[in-house]
Amino acid sequence: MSEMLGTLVFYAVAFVILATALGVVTSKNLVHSALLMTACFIGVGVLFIWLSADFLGAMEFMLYSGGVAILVVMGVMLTKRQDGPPGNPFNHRKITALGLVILFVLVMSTVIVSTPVPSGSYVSADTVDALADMMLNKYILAFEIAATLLLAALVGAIILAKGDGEA
Amino acid sequence: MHSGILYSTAQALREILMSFVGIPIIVDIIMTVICATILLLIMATSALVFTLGERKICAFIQVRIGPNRVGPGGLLQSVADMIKLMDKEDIVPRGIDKWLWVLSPILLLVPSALIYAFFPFDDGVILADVNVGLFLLIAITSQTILPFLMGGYASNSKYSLIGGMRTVAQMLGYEVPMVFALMGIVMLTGSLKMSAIVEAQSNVWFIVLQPLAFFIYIVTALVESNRPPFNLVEGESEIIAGPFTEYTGMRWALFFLAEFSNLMCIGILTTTLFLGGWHGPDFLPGFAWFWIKTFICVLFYQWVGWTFPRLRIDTMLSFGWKVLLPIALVNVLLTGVGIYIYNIM
Repeated sequence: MSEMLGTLVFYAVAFVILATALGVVTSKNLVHSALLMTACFIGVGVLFIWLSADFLGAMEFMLYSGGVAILVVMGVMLTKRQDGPPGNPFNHRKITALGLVILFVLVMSTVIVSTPVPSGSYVSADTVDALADMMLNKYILAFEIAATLLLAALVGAIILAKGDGEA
Repeated sequence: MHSGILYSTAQALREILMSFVGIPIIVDIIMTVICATILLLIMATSALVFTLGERKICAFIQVRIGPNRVGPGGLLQSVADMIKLMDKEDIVPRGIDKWLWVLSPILLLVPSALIYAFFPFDDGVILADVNVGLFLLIAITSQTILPFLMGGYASNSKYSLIGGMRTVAQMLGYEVPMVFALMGIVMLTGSLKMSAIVEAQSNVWFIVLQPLAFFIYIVTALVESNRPPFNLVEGESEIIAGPFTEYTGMRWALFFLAEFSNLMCIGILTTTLFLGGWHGPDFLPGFAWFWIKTFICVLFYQWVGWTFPRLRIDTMLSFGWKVLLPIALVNVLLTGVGIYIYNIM
């Protein structure tokens, strides 16, 4: 009974993710695309929680959805110069797109096939401790370098946006 | 094991259901539906009570009488208001983005209702006591930004769009210091679980150990829930009503239902995170203490709202980034040093 419910939840969430992802690509309106992308991210987050990776799920809600809010603001500000709905920039490079899609599928399937799947093993109930231990003990150097890089990018962005003299 | 009236009532109900139905998962589903219904009722009632309370308190602070015609002492004013709102014409402006415009007030209610699942009302009385409770709660609260922006964009009105942009700027900007302020609590508790956070305050409340975080939380909570003096999103004197300028009747009421639900949420969160949750002297049950503290917090937030004038958007944003965020980071540092010293002593 509970297994059946679990499968049902999985397929419902997977359907939402695929449908919204398709909507992101096909929508003619940039803002609609960005908002559908949020729905897609929320679906992915629910999937993470369904797989008991609750920290990753919450992260997905927080960062990606918040990021999309910024994206929508950017989309509105950059595209709404004239009246009418902001358009999605479409073009006709179909062959290039097909080539890139085939390349992407090949790379992804190679990665998926070559990754060993730890099947049926123990899953920690508390993923936060393990993640914190990894980030702040084992990989502290990489973590700090990434943090410094992001800080530099942030300061750089502010200076670029404000221009000379003002900053 | 857990004690307390609410927990034992739920257990008794579960046993009665178990003897009638027999299949555990169906009993689970029925219990969840019952709990969710109670939570939604609390949310809807709070909006009804708080609208009246807000007007009465506002009147008291401004030396007026406030609503006093409908019912004894104006008690039925919010009921009359609700009937009026349902009766109003549903105006759909031309040139809007129909789907986004319709969905915005509905979607706004979803996160507001969802976070009630993470509140510990009494010992063991919490719908979803997950490991990353506090973090998930903040993540879900941050979803309220997008419906505001959706409404602001879809209304195809300048005031709405400005309001939507302000929402993004102020809510995202103040979320950062809030998360860092709450980090101090998480460091002291050593867990993100809501029940563990309340449990850790059984002797000393976190308001004593984290006064700086408490101050930052009060400010950011007012911003996140769009309460005055930080309700720049809907600043009437500048941008009419922000994202809800083009909404009428019940659609407009949904925005206000969400706002009052959020007001109660920040009251509950202040109680849970800083004021010891359901802990209190034994002569009252846990949930009574919980509600007493929550209502005191809500009163406090309303008092602050009606006392201070509204800020200007640029001063407010620079206050968030240049003052609150450094204080929050210093608080994290101080907490870390404090824990280290406490451990070696």
